[in-house]
Amino acid sequence: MPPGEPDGVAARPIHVTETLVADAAVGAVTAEWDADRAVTAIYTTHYRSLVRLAAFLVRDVGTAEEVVQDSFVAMHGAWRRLRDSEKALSYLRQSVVNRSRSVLRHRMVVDRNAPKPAPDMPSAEHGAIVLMERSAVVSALRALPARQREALVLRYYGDFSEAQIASAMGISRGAVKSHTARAMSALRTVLERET
Amino acid sequence: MTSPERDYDDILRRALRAAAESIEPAADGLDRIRGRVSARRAGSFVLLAEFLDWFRPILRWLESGAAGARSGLLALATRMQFPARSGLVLGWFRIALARLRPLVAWAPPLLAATGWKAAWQRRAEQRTQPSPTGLRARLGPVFTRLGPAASWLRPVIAVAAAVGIVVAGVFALGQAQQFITPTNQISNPAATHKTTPAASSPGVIVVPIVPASPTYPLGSPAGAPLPSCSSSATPKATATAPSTSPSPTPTHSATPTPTITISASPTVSPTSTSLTGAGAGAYAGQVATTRAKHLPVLCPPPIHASSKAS
Repeated sequence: MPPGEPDGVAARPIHVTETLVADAAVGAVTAEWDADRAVTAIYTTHYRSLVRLAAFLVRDVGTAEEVVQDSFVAMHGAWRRLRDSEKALSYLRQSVVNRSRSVLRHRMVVDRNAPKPAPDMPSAEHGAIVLMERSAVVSALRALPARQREALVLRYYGDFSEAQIASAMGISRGAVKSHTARAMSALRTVLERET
Repeated sequence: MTSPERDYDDILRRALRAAAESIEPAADGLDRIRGRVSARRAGSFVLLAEFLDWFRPILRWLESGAAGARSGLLALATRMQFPARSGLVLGWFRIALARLRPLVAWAPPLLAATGWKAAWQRRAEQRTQPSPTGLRARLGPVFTRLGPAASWLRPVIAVAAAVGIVVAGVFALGQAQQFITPTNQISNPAATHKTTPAASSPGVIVVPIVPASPTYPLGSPAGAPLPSCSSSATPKATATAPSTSPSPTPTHSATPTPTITISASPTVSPTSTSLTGAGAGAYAGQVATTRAKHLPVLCPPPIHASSKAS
């Protein structure tokens, strides 16, 4: 059983985009689910991809897990209102994006007020960041503004439609297009400069 | 879409997927989610248990404080010749606190027995840690552990505490007023306000203006007849103050023409309808002067402000 899978779940290869797109089979039976079973089912199919999505946004795997777990807890609390896996998944995405923004905002405040560590002392999240920044593309992605980064990650990692991205980010479709275009332009500039 | 853009799309997509492959979440994610959900369910019970734990020493403190205050009040009442029941309120308060004590002692175990084991275990783990000092340092982890429940529990607790304090204050003030005010009526039964037949006639409302807590009878010797402070609207009033001022008649005219007439006979014209602020102030000054000159004992102003019902 690969790490990250719950007990009793058979190991199977998980495609990245497979887990982010709502599972029609799961959605058909959700009317009778109770919140606990819904959490278990959605965790099985989407937890890993959501953690990866959050890791791109917050640049820290541990924090990304915390964000996603908090989102699952919130979804469990809101299940009486959701009662559908489609809505639950949309709720989860939106919650992950919002909580990631909160984490970044909090981190910005902490970084502004905390004393800077010595240059030879790497922070706790340094290892995770280094892992993610192997690629120059990911490094350039990290330099983008938060909203542009969200738009790119949701589009190119999550394979979401513009409407889904707009819903997750809480902005209009036009704003999604604008953010995506600006992000791609900036990314292209950085990558062309490096090559 | 042009081909370079499409190239960049593919590059970005491949790079993100490759980077994501290296991210593996921990295996205990579902357990942690379930733990948080159960902790959230039990949040209110944990908060109640914590509150009862906090309330226990406060209860003890209130009990001892009530006992001390009661004995002090009794001593003061003996010295000041108050009736001995001045300390009864605090006595009742103390009894009520003593009855609350077993409830506070038994509630946390009962809460623990309701099945919220996870929350209780976390609470026990927190208790094993060295306790921080200060209310905020102690309550902070509780609210943090409660998670989203704390966001609405915090104002609820604050409002409940505020309401409790206000209710307790109003109750205590009311009881204190009850114990002090009747002292005059018990020791000075003549100080009753009478109304004339004219004043009590239909259509006329007589409003006696009496200070809430008169202090004048305290020093009177036992058995000595207290001067009568009876006031009457009849010309045959019992007040015998000499008429030093031939016409002490500060008549304040306003709309609707409050006419307050002070004479040797404490008579108020039944035609006066209300006592306005300026008129009341001037009148109070006049009464104070009259009292200082003529009255041997401080008496409530024998004034009836009567008003005609329109």
